[in-house]
Amino acid sequence: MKWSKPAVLLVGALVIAGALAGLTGVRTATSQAVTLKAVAVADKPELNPDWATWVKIPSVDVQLTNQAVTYPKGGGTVPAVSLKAVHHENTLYIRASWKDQTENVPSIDMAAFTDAVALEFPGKSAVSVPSFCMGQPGSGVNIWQWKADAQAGAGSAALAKLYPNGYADSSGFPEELTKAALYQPAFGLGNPVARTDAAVQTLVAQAFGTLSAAAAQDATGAGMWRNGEWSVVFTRPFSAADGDQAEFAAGKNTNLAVAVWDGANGDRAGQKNVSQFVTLQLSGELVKAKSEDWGALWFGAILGGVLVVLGLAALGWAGVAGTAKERA
Amino acid sequence: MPAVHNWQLGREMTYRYDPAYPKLQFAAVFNINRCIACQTCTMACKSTWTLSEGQDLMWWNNVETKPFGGYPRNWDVKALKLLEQSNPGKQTWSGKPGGPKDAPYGKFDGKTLFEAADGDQQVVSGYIPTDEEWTAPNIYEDTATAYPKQGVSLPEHSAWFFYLQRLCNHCAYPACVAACPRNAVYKRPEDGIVLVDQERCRGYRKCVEACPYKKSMYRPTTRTSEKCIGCYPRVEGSDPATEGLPTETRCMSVCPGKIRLQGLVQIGDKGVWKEDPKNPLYHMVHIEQVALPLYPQFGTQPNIYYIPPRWVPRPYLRQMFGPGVDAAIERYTNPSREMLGILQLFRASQQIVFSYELVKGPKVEEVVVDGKTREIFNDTVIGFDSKGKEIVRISVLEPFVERPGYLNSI
Ligand code: SF4
Ligand code: SF4
Ligand code: SF4
Repeated sequence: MKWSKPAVLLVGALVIAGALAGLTGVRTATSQAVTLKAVAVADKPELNPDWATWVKIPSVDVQLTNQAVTYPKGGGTVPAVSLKAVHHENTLYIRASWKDQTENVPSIDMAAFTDAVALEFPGKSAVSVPSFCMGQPGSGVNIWQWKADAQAGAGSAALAKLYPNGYADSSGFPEELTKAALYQPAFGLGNPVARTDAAVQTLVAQAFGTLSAAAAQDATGAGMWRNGEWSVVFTRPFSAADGDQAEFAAGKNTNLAVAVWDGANGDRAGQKNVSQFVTLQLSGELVKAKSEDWGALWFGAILGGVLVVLGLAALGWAGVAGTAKERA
Repeated sequence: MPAVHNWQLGREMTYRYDPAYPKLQFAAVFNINRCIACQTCTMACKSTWTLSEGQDLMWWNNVETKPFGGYPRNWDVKALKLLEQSNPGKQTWSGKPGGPKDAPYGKFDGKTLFEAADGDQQVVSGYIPTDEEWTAPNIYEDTATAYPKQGVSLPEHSAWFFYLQRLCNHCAYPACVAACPRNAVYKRPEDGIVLVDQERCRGYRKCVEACPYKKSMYRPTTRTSEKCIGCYPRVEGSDPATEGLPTETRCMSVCPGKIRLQGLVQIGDKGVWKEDPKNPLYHMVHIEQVALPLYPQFGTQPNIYYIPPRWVPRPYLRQMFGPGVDAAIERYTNPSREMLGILQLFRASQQIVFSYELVKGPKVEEVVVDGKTREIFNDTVIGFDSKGKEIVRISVLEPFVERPGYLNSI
């Protein structure tokens, strides 16, 4: 069989890419087939992406795509999110991390947008599995959204920092007045986006455009950006105060979808990176958090190494063949 | 996408929603020729609605010096550029001004900002101004296009500037309403006032991006967008100061230049104004066609109408107000008796004038304007409120009152 030079180059490159993927431990899978296992842990987890036990918890990668179903379409700059989950004393903890070269925590810049991530679950009262596209009437979804700007508490403080000599007439009024609905309507009306004391909003939706604040704002979270990567931890007790929210139980499966917003890309609203529903499995019994599966890693490394050698050999052969052909 | 009739463009256009019209529509006429740029309107709005923290860069009402000024900076040049880029060289009008009220200025053959959008990420072609663009709201104040050694003269000044008074147009086809993915921006059926629901807004700034007039603004402290509320408690008469009567907004009623007249007009089929010749706004917009919409080609069917400044080069004005400019200036310069009467109603009352009546008076003067002799009659104009009760009576000539002599106490 005669191989053309481009074909050999392509095969070589694919073999190397595959090997490198094996070495770096990326498990590519279609979103639907992914199962995120939440194991029960003995120690109370910290609301901190750096909590020591997280390194011992296996992760799954969920592919993200640009949101292309409804206006405003967008996204496409974040290809995947890595998830880990544990539970402890009837409380669920989920850690999401994704690559993002720019940390976008806009303070008050009107044309800048924040990095953010959200988890979506079927609502407890959903009569059937809702659409992962914001649910449908009768089968709503529960969304926990973490935003970098909300965590930074951006608002009055950021304003004062950016414009130290700025002056607003109302500043002379008593606090209870300036914080009232009259002067800060969004805040006064309880709109969760106006809160400066919570990084996570607890939301419910029953179709596109119906997203609204859940009666109980009981999901919390904390995030951190380091070396081109965001890591965010969410937590909420298994049971929520209101019926529209998700309900969890040890030994039970439910669904989970993820959305990531890249502020640098102008992402907000439907302009985001989205996954489909994956399975979230809450283990029934308490298991000791397993250390990484070293056997599998060694196997991956050896196989990857062999494939890199094969790939390089193929590329080299193509190069030699090419040169020989040119000489001939 | 649904088709709607845009009477200002004399044609159908695409819009995100099916046609739906309010019973009455908030509208106003601004006589640019009389504005003294005192900014009383600007400060009236600021001190009523946007005095709080986070609203620092917000001026729901602003007065800018054209052609160089703009708040936010170059807002109109940027919107015009978006249109030009999507439809190079074809942003033109056909037909003639002076047409029926569903196509009074002829037909716009170019693209609107709705038609220029991709429909995926934007349903209205637009952009979000930066912080810098929102600062210095009165930059280039009183800056003319040139400073010639000799004076300038009508009909077109060779060196010129003029003041443009701007607030939300409470558009018939609001770009802000179309752009909000979660219906947090809405148009009230009772008066057409366009509001951002502060409970539902999630600060996506799609309305800020979409509004070509840049009259939806972001408030970073509450992370929501806010905009001119048309002083709705005054317009609907629920503000205690109105004593239950529909009253003009803050920015309108304070105007010392008497350039503003605001009211509510009746809306009929296809969003075209219902025949109402005794409504002063209807008379100026549809009968005399002396007041024109601002950048009708954007496609939002805005509801603040302007009597164009008569000294400004016409090509600039035609770009800004459409092809009706020449006729409007002619009718303003040589006003009919009705028109001269209506001009007296500007700022004669804080209550909204729903209809007027002209009582003819004697001829009092002859003046020569642009070489033409004109007769002035001292007619009296009477303004009525929503219930037909007289609220104002004023004559063309200001009554001359001689104060009786008295001893000065000093
Ligand atoms: S108050 Fe009247 S005259 Fe003064 S700037 Fe405003 S519109 Fe012009
Ligand atoms: S002027 Fe702008 S903000 Fe006002 S209604 Fe029109 S599109 Fe909306
Ligand atoms: S109508 Fe009221 S809210 Fe709107 S610009 Fe005028 S004063 Fe401000």
